[in-house]
Amino acid sequence: MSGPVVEPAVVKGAKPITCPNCGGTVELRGFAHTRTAVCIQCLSVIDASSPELQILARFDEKMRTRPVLPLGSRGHFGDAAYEVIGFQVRTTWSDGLAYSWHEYLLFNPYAGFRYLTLYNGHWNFVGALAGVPSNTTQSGRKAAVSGGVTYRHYQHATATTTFVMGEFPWAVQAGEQVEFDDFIAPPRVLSREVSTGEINWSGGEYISGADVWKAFGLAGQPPRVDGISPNEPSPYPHKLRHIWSDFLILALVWLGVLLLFNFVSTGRQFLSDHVQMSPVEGAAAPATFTGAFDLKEAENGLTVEVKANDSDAPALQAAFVDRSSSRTIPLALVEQGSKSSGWRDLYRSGTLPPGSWSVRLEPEAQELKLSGSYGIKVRREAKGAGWIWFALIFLLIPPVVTTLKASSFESQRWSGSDYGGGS
Amino acid sequence: MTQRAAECPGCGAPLRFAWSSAVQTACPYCHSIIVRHDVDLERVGEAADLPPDASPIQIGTEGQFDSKSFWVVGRIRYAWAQGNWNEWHIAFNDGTNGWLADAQLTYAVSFLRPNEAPAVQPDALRAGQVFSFENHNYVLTTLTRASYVGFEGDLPFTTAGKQDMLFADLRTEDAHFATLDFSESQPVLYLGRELPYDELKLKNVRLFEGW
Repeated sequence: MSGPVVEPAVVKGAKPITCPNCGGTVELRGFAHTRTAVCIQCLSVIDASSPELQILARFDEKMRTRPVLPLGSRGHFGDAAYEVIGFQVRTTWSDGLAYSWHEYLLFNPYAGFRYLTLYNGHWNFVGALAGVPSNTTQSGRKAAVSGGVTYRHYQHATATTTFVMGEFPWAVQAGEQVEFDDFIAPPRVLSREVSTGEINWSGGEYISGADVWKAFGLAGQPPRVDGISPNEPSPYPHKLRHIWSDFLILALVWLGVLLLFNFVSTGRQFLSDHVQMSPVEGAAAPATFTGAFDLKEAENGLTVEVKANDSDAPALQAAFVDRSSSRTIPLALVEQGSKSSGWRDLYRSGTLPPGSWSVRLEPEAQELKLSGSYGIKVRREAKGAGWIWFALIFLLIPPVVTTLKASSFESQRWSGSDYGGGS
Repeated sequence: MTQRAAECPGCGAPLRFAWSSAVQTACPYCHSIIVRHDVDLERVGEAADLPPDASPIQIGTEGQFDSKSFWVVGRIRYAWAQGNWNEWHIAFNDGTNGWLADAQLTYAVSFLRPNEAPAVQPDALRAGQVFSFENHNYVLTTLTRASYVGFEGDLPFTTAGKQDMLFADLRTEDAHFATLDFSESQPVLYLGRELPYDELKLKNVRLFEGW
């Protein structure tokens, strides 16, 4: 009689097996978990679970693919190290085009099995899912809920195993097909696989090639990233938050500038008066003065508006006159307008020193033939603030462009899905 | 913890039960399968050696579930169409017991819920059916036909006289786990949770060459 039925505390590694087809040595890394192993020389799939080492299938040499993570290498994820023990290429066909991705089977004798998937330079770290997601719908599309998170349906497809290397805890079949559905909640993805009537759920999380390279301590560069992957986290929500909050700050500054500018540059009316000019028989037309207005500070570029309500009212010439010194400041005519019910002349002054000022009006003609009634206004125009509105539009460019880019990222994300072209 | 000492009816070697309520154990010396009827021990057969496996758990492994400490006192190894799995019999300090399932290194802890099993016929079971236990909706995910490969240590029931059996596994969205066991005349319900290895905080596990 032997000793107690307690197994040794140290589990010995499995001995390598000899390929019954080519005699090559097949290393085993998965202890008693390994059910099938593939001969790296002749690509025979060997049943490693029984001593007979039956050959179950063979993969086509033409399909041979070189894994980018070497079998037997170990990578650190979280607190655990995982060894690459298996590698398979799976392919799905759509519109006559083949899309292939890599799946690396990772093993830790305590934490169990994980996968790293690689497609177009995009990686996912995948494990079996605890629990089973419940079905729901979101925005009229299928969705799945797991751990309180809703995942939106991305695609349904059939995957065929087109190449296999290493060892697996299940029976590998050449050309094995599974139907799968992917559901996404970036950076997470859920996959539902159905093969031979069994439903298996797995959950994955996006991981950058750089992080995979770091986990495995690999030299060189990971495969180049192409396009956007279904569950790749968008960089934009973060960027958008920043750029819109920056815009908000700048818009407040802009508003401050606008208010300050308006305060400094407000228009003001100094004078509004009416004068009447009538012909004097046989005499030259006299000059007429408006009432006076006082300037405490010098003003530059005042506008003088002379308006007649009768289109036949004689034309006038205007100038500023200092009431105390009789100093005259000429006015330049800048705009003349007329309509059926009258006309309007606009003048602009040079610099007016402080003082008490009137507008002197004289008829253009030597002799006044008709009388006229005129309204005279003197004002400082509000400075044109058009450029300040352009500044606001300018400030809006970065956040609007980023918002459009974010939306374009999401439509690219969904372009490869079953819903591409829609929404 | 009381350890009841007795003699093996097969070889007379001293037997120590690691769990006081054990119903079946194997004599570590002569491999006799011993079933306890109250105070009497009966030898009902000889235990086969368990084929080598790669579970990190062994008799004596300690761990935690819901902040309560347990230790492993026995196990049953089952075989099904695509492999094997272990149900480790675990005992807690308060005398209660449960099961730690280890199927290809995915782990679940569950406890017997006496008299809570629904009165269903195994033939009527289909994947996708929903059952409600203790305010959670469980979806039937897998039906497994299994057989005993062997056992070791202390068990709360006898495996003698049973061979092929049916298990229905049910799961919730948030990792609750249930098993309906149809190996008895009436279905038996176990409720628990799936959990990652780290959360079990296992000690005294097996070591693996090269790791």
